[in-house]
Amino acid sequence: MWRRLFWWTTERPTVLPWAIFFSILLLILGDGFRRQLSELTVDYIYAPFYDMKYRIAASARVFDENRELRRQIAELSLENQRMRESTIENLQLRSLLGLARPWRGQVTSAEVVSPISPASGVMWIEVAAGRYVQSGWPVVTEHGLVGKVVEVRGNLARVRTLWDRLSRVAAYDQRSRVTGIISWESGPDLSLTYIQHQADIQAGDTVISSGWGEVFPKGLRVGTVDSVAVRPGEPFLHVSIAAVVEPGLLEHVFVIEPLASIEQDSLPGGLLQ
Amino acid sequence: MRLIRWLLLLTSVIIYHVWFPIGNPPPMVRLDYEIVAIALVGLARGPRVGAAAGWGIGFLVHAADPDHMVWGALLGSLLGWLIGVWRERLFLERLTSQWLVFTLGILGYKVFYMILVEGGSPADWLLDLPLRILPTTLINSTLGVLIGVLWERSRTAGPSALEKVLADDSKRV
Repeated sequence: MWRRLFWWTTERPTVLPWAIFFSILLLILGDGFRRQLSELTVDYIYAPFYDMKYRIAASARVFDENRELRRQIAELSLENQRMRESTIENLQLRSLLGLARPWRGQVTSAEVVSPISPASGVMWIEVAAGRYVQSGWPVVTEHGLVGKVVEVRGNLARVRTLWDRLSRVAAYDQRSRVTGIISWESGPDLSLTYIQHQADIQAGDTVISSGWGEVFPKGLRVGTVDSVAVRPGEPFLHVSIAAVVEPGLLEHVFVIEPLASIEQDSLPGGLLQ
Repeated sequence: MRLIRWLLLLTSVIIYHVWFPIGNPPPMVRLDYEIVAIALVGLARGPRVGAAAGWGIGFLVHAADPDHMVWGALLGSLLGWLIGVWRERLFLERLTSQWLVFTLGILGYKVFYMILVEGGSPADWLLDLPLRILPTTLINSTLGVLIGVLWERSRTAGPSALEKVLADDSKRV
């Protein structure tokens, strides 16, 4: 009965001995051969299917991202409408009070061709052909301030960033309006200097450029207050600032060409707080 | 047509394996489509094709693991051959008997797979047997019989496996 159940078959030739032979052969040929065979199988048989799986998963993510982006566009459109109304109202009030009009600028995109040097805190950018920049013009990203152009050679421009030891930016706390000077502290961190001990400044506050000195326009985001410390023997607070721009991840920046004063409907979106 | 059917079978096994890999450690309960496919081929086409398909499918499923590809291929081959032989010898036309053969075959496969491929201690095996191997086996054998029924119904031309076997036997006699 056992022989009938497990050995004898009506079909010839029997494949099982060959399957066992090939299995033993694979064992004898060794680990290296099996590894090569495995790589070949994965590369030539499985790879297209893994690629297909990845593409399908990515497509599914695209739908979600698209939905989220549509929601954000709707929110930003509403916010943009509110901001435009506020801007018009602000301009009318400034006009009534006789104050100077806020700045306005034309934005030129540029590509970072040499990242920020750890030794000096400068970087090189390249503007598109036909566009030009000038020394002294501010450089920003969609997140906030990066630095200013200090040298121009054709389409290339050298930018002194906030992480240069010579860089100084007049800035203030957006919440309490406490003013100070932004300078490089260490690594990616900045500090807000000349802040009195009794000043109202807290961790998490947003720091924006004040426009004093007329180098950087007013209202550009610089960073957020990371920590506030009192150091013995020092007349000012030690305010550490986390920059909104990640210096190591800069790929594209925008150079702002300062123009006269703002028109009622020409605010550069996203740059102003 | 036969080549296309084989390509479809192998493609479906690969796609299932890519989407639902066996994993290490393996999940508590998993629909082992590759095992069901081997058993179905053995049941439908006999021990010769079952052994060949089992070796090929077992090798493909374990191809990414050079340490266990041989065991995977060999166990697949044995499963396909065994189901084919049982089908041939026992004339399994009733669904319950097919289910029983599937269960026994897949249980044997899973037990040897647990010992040879997954490893572990005898204490682990004793724990895994009632908690993981047996439920998975029952699910897979039930799924296999269901797919087999659907497959038989979808076939419109050609004699059934039993008719082929009977025809062969009558020729031999």
